[in-house]
Amino acid sequence: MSLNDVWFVLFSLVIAGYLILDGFDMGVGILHPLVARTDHERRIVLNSIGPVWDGNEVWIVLGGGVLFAAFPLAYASLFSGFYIAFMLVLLVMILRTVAVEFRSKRRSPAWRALWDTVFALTSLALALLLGIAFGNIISGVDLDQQGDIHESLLNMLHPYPLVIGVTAAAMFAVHGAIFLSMKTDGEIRQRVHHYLPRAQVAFVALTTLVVVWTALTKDEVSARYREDFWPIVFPAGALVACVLLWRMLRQGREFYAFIASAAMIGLLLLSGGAGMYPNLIISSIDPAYNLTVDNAASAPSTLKVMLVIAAIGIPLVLLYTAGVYYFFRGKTELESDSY
Amino acid sequence: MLFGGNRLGPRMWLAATSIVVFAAHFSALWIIMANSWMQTPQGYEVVNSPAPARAVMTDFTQVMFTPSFLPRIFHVFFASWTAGSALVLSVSAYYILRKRNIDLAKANFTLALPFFVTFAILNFIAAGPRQAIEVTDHQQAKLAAIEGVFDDQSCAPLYIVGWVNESEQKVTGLSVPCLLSLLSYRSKDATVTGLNSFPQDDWAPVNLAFQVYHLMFNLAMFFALMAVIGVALYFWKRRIFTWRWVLWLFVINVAFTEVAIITGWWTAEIGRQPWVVWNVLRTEDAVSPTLTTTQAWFSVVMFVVLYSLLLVLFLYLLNAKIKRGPEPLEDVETVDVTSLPNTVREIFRSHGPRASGDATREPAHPVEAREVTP
Repeated sequence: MSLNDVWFVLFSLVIAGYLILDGFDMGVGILHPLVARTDHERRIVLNSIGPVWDGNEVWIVLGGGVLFAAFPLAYASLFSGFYIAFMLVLLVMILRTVAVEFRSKRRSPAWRALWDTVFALTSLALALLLGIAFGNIISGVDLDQQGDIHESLLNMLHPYPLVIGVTAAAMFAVHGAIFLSMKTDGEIRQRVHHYLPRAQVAFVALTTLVVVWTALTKDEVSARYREDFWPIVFPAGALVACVLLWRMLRQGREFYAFIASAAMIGLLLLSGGAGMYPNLIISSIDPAYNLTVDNAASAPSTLKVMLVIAAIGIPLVLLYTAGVYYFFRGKTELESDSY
Repeated sequence: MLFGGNRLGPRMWLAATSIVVFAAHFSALWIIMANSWMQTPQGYEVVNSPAPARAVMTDFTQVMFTPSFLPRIFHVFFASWTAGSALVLSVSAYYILRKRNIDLAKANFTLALPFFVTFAILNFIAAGPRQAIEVTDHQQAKLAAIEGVFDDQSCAPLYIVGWVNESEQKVTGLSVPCLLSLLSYRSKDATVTGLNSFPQDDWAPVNLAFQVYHLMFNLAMFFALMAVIGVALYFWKRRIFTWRWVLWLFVINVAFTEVAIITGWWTAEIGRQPWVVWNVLRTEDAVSPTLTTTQAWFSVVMFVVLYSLLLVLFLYLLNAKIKRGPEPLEDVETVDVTSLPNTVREIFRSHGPRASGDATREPAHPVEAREVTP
């Protein structure tokens, strides 16, 4: 395994970490108008992610940073080619952040209703946009010999990525529902349990559709699985995690169900990553123009220095993140410094 | 830090807050490091094959510690401390003027004043001038632009205010003779290289760079003056708390510190033009080939509209929060802090942070109360 491969794996893991962590934040946002009716309930739901959501969001910044530093050519192509799409993602992320921060700062019901709506809509939009982006990456884009992407925003909205967008929203809804089930009780929890099985059914149906669709039409990706047998452990693992999730929920062991759901999200992302390897961006014009872990990477000396920094930094981040979750474990209660 | 107030003992809460302080400095460090490389690049080579041409790192230490890094990071640290203490001073001064929360306000004012004084003065007499010397040494065309020096000039004046007529290459304004030469080269007869020694293609927008730089410079002078006034009136029988016009100056001062920080950044970035990486990569060559003018306008308009809106809301909420102020002490819900975990071991031993203290353990000392902001 070369240094470039190590960075490909690290990049995939960071993105998986982001989807797992901010995934339940998005799920909580999507479910928030459905499961919480009164102001008190809405604050409980919002504060279930209160101490952790902004830490979770930083993982996408880390992902962008890893791509920028390890694979600058892919970073340049993506961020320039998807310029408007990325601006929309930023817009959604900024508004979502502000909604969380501003919501409870005034007592006016109209003010709170406004930011509740913004929080729910931006959470849903972010899940859709991430899914659409993922779908376009898998499908391949108009990448020319110079490494420039020529895609208009409308071109990105074809059926395949749209379906992945909806799948992502369903997946995060499941993930967020399990999290909420752990963090709340009473009526909120009952409503969560009303929506959870529905979200699960939708997610499983949509994922099956996406897997079949990918296997039949996305040759670059499915070819990887035909050439090499071992990457099958990722989708197979995701399937096992999905079954375990369901069993753990039936047995009422929510914490383990949450772990299974996290593992499932991570393994699904890694399934996509394994299918992409060694490509970072697939060209729909000519496979020769693909940006790969070799032709898009930084110099070996840069990769080495960064590996040392990552080896020190990432365990530290994981350690204190785990510490924060442990410290704020248990059912959410409103306190004087809550949102 | 934000959510630990009801859950952590005093020592651990301080520890959590200290981590935030450390991380804020650490974050500034990397940002300034990256930007300093763009100002004074070193430790790299440009590799042409395989295409496209790119800068490849040859020495990590050199990339981290470029000549401009250390002067700039201290300038930024001091500026941030100045702005932070100015905010505390502003809110405290407002309460003193409105005769509310007087004890709290005076205590906070007294606490923040030494920080403001130290960092405002250090920036004015040490970090700022040190950075100007660094610009003189490594970015002569930038120094010439921000001071409006066109022809090579010995005994060059330092402008306090002025206006640059770029076509006639003249600056009209108020200046101190020879001070620029003295500050930049530590000799009053030294020659400052003018813009005409560089191709006109390599000039920054002179008047703009000049104006933003001088706005920052004059504000820095103003902060130093405020610092002196603050200290003098404090030690002159605490008159600082009764002279209303000085308190009002401290109330609005915080806005000036923000303006100074922004114009400081503009000086660094506008003064670096037309380069994105000084003398290596031009801004016009750094633009993405696929980016259209429409796209660029879309993003600029989006951000201007969004952030203007958010700024208005932010100022409104901040103002409301300040005007509401802290609850009077007797109304405040208190938490028994002696029962809260005060070492790392206690945090991980207790069963549920809320349940740990209330009933199971009797506090060893008389109950110590901590104020909780609602």
